[in-house]
Amino acid sequence: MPVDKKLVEKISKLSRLNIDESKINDFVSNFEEILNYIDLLEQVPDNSNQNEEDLISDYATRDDSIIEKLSNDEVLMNAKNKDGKFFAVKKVIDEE
Amino acid sequence: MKYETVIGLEVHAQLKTNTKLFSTSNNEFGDEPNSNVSVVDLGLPGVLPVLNTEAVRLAIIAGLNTKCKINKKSTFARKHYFYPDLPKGYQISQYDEPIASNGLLVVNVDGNEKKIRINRIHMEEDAGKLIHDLSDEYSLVDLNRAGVPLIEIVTEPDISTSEEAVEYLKKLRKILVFAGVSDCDMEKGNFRCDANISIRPVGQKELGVKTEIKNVNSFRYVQKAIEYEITRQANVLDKGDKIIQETRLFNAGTNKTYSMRSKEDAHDYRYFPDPDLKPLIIEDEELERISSDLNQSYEEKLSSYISLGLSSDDVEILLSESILFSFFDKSLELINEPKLISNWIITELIKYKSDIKLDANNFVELLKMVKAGSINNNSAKEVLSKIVVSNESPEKIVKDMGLTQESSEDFLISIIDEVIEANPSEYERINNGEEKLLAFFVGQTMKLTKGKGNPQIINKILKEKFNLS
Repeated sequence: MPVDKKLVEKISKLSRLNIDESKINDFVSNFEEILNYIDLLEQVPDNSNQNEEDLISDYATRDDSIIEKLSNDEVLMNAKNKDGKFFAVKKVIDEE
Repeated sequence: MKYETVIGLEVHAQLKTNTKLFSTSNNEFGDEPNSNVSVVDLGLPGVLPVLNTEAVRLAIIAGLNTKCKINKKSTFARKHYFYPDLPKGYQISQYDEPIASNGLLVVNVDGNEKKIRINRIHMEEDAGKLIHDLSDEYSLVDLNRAGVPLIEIVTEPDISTSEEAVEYLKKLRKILVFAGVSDCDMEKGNFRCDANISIRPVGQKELGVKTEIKNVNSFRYVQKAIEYEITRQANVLDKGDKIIQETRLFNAGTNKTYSMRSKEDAHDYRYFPDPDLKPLIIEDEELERISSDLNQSYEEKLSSYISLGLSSDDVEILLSESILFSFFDKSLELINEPKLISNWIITELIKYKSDIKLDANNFVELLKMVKAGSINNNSAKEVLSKIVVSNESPEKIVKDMGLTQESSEDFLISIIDEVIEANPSEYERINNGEEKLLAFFVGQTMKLTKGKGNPQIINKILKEKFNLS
């Protein structure tokens, strides 16, 4: 995948990150490096004879019973702003 | 120009589980804000989602009941967007490998059968709730709903009219309620619909540009929203303008749809397989076990009720809520009076459906007393209102409240004699043929028995006394 300035700008926008104009080129090479690592992984030979379904058969699932929940105080413990039992966030009107 | 309409529907139904899709917090509507939230729902660092097996079972049941193929392998994906209702920054959903696909639902509109194909059913977690009008300064966030398990049921664009859309939704809702998959309570938002609508000149093959109407939560609004949108799009095309592909919102006050300005790139969700969750494999044995546990289909249940002599209107009501038909089934095992049971469920018990502690045994005891005439209808309603929340024995309540109906003929004859003695002139008039005075005598007798006399028996005795037919 070719990484260019435009792609970095798009991803920073989607991620709500402000990347300084002067740093963008650094990110271009960073992104490229990361993607190259992934490509490298793809080249690792797969010596297992097991098919994918066997490999993932031990799925960690849980029964539908209530085990744990937090108190309202605990839930809001790290909130920057709160209002009564709610988190309070900057007014948003647009959906999604 | 003449156009034809092409509609596809996406329904979100909330699964009837005790806990959330990937966390152990309670899946309960209407609790205190932020009281059903766990570290997983908060998206705290280092936590891992663990899949709820019951949610998977219910999604499979939904698939089987809509003739879908259940996919042996399905995967969970991250759908990214930034919004305060979603602390993780992404929603866990299924994307290219859903749990079920290629289903079918047949609906009837004005006597015509219409086949609507289901493209897919996928599982996903719900987002939290934002409240904008409680504070001037802030939007308030309640995360109780965040992580609640949903299935999204997506049709092919096979729907051609607003009526077909509504019939499809009604039928789907009945099927899901009956199968125990979801309560589909639209007021609580656990059955929500998005409609994709486009029009094209009659005869044209390619689909027109579609608009999506989001989160319509009543059948009537779905119909109105679709009808408005069809007219709006036709007007745009007639003027020679182009339809803009966009998301629109329905306003129930004006019956119109409005463009929901969405920011550029807002729909770049950057889906990718969630590395915290391995692909889900449904083993053949498991699928077989779930299939063999399946109850009757909705249609089979419907005809079995009709064959008991119930009217189709009554059956529709019974089948609209699981608490109603399960109560009916349990009661029918105890007393073979389908009509009596059905009448009392759909006229009386239904009033209390959100808060029923009563069990079928005590309900049937009450019906037996009504049938035997040992208590009149009005008293029985009063007793029901008490036992429905306490599940006490109706006999005890009847005794405590002194409501037992007096059906002893000897006793009633003695009361009637008292009434006649106290009203000699009316007695003479009725004997001279003034038959309408019968009601007066019934009323006086009821009064002396303090409302506990059995009116049918009083009537019978009086008619015999006055030689009325």
